[in-house]
Amino acid sequence: VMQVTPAYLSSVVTFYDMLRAEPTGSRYLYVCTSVACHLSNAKAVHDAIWEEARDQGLEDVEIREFECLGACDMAPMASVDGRYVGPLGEDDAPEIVSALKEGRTVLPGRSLEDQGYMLPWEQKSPDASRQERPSGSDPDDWPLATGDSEELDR
Amino acid sequence: VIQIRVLTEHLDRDDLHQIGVYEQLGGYRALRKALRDMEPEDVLGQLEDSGLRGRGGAGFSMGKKASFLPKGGTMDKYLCCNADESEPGAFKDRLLMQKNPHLLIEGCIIGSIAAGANKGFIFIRGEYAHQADILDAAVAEAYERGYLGDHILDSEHSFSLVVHRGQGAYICGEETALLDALEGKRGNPRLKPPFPANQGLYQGPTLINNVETLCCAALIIERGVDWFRSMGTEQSAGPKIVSVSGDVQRPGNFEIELGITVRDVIYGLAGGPPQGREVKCFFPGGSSAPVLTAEHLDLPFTYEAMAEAGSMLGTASVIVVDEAQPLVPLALRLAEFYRHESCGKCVPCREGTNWTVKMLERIDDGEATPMDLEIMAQVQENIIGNCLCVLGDSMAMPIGSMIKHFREEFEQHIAEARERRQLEEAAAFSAGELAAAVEAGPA
Repeated sequence: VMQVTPAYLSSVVTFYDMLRAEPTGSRYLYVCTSVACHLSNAKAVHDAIWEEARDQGLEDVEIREFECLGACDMAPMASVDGRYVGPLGEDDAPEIVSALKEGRTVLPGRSLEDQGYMLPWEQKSPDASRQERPSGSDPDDWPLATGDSEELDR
Repeated sequence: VIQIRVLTEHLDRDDLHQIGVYEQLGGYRALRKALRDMEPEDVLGQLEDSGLRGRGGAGFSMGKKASFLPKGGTMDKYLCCNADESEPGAFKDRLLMQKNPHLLIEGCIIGSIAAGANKGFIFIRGEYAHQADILDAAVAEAYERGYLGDHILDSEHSFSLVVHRGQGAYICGEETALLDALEGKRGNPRLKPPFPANQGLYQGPTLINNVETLCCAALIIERGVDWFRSMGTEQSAGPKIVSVSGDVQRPGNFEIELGITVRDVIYGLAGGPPQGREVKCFFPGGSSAPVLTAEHLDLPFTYEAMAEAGSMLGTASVIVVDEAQPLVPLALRLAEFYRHESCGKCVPCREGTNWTVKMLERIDDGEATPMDLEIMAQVQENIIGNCLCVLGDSMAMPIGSMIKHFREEFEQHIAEARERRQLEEAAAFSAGELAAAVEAGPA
């Protein structure tokens, strides 16, 4: 249809890490094991998750080591269907796997996407106490901002 | 140590990705200024005068790069934003795109004015799914407000912008590979020349810039050249986001003026290595930069000082390795990364990365002799400068520098691994010991 040869298609598919020629699983969990995560013991985290998945009989999830996912500040970390979670420890493995198995959100509150997400050391630093409250409840920022953007929308 | 808030201004707000909030905080002012009060040549001139250097790794003057595009002509010209940030250690663009997508979009439009481009792409790596969704929404908002599309703000300039997701390949961050990937092919680097400025995407003249570079461009137009030059040093002007990771207590993104010392970055901002350990070595500019050692800690963190010390500022992604980390496994992990990501087009890179991995594995297996270090160093030398792109160099330079600075540790590792192997072999002859070893499991 597209006038390309199977060889060409195979060359493209095998080139990209996120493309697959065979079905692997409808979800994925990439554990970053690149340099910064390597320094933070990422291999052990990957192995722990992998073993846990085997023990719990987790299916339909592709679990693999992945090259740098660009989140070295939260190392070691993993991407669950694009949702970045971290920093991880080996003891997080049972929870991660059972959440995947039961279709729950993996490690709620510990993803980069979550509201008010903070790295552990940011929470500990003294000037972070101001930011620790949920970001939606800041009286200075929100009412003004919402009011104004409504005005602009009209 | 003072952190500044220029690119990272307002990033603590959770609603900055909404166009209304961004506008309220002064967003899209630069665009109005560029379209209404300035000629395209002035925009280009200001970018050149500002001394803004590409933030994606090469550090080439952004204005100069834009000026290489031919003026006029009948072919479509393109602007590509390189958001493929795959360099191990780099995560600054992720922050900017997630928190302040409109600054990038404004920067893209400014870039398109300077380059005379009418079509643009943001090539974002597929792993950044969340950030790509945010950008998609922001682009749609910008179209709605008339910042993108035909006759932007009733001017002569038209510019369309598409967010394109990559599918996971480090090499697509190389500018010509990025173009091939955008065209739907394997992301193989192209032979240069012709440079993308003359023949880029779909053979049209193309300007390719990093996320942070384009964000800076918007700010330069808004606040002026003098303001930009008031930060940093003569040759490293402007604000810079550094990403510090590895063995430090507070890894993260910090915005600084270039020119503070490396020690300030590693110890002052990121808290230094944990548990009072010392820095063994560090990558100043992502994993592709040759490592520097503790003696380089007091150098100023600038493009020029890092180059003088034999390394490079690159993406300004500092990966710190402390004294407790053995280097051989690190070197192996690094080499494996580049072996995996090599596109395989050029022999020195394809074979060189493979050989390096094998030789490092031999060291760990106890099969190597000190002579292997010579061979390995030689392999690295034969990669550098002999390929179409710098992926091979990106492995060869850090590995070569590790061997150079830490030869003793490599030699020691070789000797220890050999001893271990000899013991294991001796043990294998005695059946009783073998059974015991099996019972004890792998060490």
